[in-house]
Amino acid sequence: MNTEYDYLFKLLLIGDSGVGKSCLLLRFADDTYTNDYISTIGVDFKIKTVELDGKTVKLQIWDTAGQERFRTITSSYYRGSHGIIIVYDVTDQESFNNVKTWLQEIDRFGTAGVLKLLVGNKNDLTDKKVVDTEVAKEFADSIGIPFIETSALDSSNVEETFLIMTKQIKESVANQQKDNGRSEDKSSVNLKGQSLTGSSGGCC
Amino acid sequence: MAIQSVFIINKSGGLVYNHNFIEPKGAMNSNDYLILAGTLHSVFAIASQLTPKAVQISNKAEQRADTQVPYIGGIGVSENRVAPTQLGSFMGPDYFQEPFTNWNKSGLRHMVTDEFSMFVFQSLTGIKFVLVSTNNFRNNTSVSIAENILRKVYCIYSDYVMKDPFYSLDMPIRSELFDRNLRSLIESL
Amino acid sequence: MSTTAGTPNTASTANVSSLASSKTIKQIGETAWKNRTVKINAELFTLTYGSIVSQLCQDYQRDFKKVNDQLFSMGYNIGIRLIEDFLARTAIPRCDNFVTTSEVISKCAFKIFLNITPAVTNWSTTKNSFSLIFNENPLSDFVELPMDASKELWYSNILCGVLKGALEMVQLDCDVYFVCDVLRGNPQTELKVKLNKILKDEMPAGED
Repeated sequence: MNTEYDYLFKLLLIGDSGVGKSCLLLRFADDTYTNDYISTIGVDFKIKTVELDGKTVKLQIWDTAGQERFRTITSSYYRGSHGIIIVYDVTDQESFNNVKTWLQEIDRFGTAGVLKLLVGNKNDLTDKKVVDTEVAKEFADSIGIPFIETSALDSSNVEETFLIMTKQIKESVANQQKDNGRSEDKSSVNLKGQSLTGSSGGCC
Repeated sequence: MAIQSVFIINKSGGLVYNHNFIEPKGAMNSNDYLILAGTLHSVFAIASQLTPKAVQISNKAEQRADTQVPYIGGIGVSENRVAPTQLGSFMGPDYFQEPFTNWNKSGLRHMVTDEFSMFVFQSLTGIKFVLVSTNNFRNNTSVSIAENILRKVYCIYSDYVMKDPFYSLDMPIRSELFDRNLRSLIESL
Repeated sequence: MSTTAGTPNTASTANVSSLASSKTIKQIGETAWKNRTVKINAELFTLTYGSIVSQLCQDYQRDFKKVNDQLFSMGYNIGIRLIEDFLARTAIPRCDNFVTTSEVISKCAFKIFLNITPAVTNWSTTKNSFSLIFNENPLSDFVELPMDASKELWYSNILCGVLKGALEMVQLDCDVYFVCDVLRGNPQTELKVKLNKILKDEMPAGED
């Protein structure tokens, strides 16, 4: 009856409202039903249980509302996140432009060296697409974070990316004890194996 | 006081410990508990924003009595036994014996429904210790008792969780020693 | 184990919601040390620490900078855990200012865990950094540094890490380092604590 899992990781889902954050994880999460707390407390939860090297890992995904009225408690949601997923809508230029604002928020509230991922959603709406894959890819590369495009129709790469992320978080938690307290060592590896350190400040 | 459950929520809102001393009526799986803890973490943060500024200021200025918790003797110390000389790294007969200040000044501290009451004790480091009782307490004494218990849970946590060199910070607590000591505290109530 | 007889209930007023007077801080520290904390044999402790440092010197082939770093890092990992023990034991309220913090570190924390009270001095004009002067240091009671170590090794560097870790957990981002050490032939042992910033965004909700 006590905790049946070995690891608990916190992932944060951010991005403008309307970019389809919630749909993104619908198939990925353990439970198919959706709780609907988001309009009340500014966050919804989805949980995915993963077996990794014989250990049970729970990924608790905090799906946040992009709304202004939850600003004052934002720091409570960022606190202690192991990974942060920034979502934009490929058919909405504004939501892509705002990614920079979200990155600034991560710099402010997120843990140093937190893993990041940029996701372009609604990629199935090809005729309405306004954010070019190349542009987004270039932007993600320039700030050294991994990037994928996805849609509700095919979200298989989301699952794959999440599992890679989970593995990395598990490794970094295991190494945490060694590196802690030596700030110059606080490097962490992103999905491409590059160091994230030093890339946090610059966006274009 | 009939204790139903003890939860420990880390500073990021993740449930790292959960023990039911009395099985709750509705079945809940581990995901439900995780969602419950995350929701509580969020509601706690919202509650602290809802607390009127005037109340916060007067709390600060007068060091108001309602954040002072009196020490209540005999909690978790069995009366028909000889008083312990040592409780973990704490010299007996009790973990502490003086009144203390509750750090939680504007967050959610106490909740009562017809079915149960819930108490939250938050450390300066942001860990939440939550106690659920099947009684629907409404008086101040029961709040004080609950907060005395929760500070003792914190004491046990600081020994058997924090001092276990193989425990990873903020991760689920799976410690036989912690379980046993917590159980003996709750069962001797 | 210490045989100090506890005198329960003598400190019923020790914990008040304000830490205005340093007398109260001193009282909290002394009560917690005397009546609440289980003690161990000091020699065993000193020897254990000594064997760790000497082993590290060997492992890092007398690269004392690495030894310092490693001691710091071990201390950090202790500090982020030990702070919970400290808070559970004392239930001390949050400090209003850094001067109070310095008093709590000296009169409570060092008192409870090492039974010493280093002197707080050398305040910067902006009151954001101070020094702790150690007249006694249980870690190094029997130590004499070898020649090659006496310029580079901070023998008690674990203390810096402990303070760094513990302070960070109560949302104070500080630099902590030794300035001088009698083991190196300096006239006194001085440790500097410098506040970089208060981590306001890390502050748990519910504390005003």
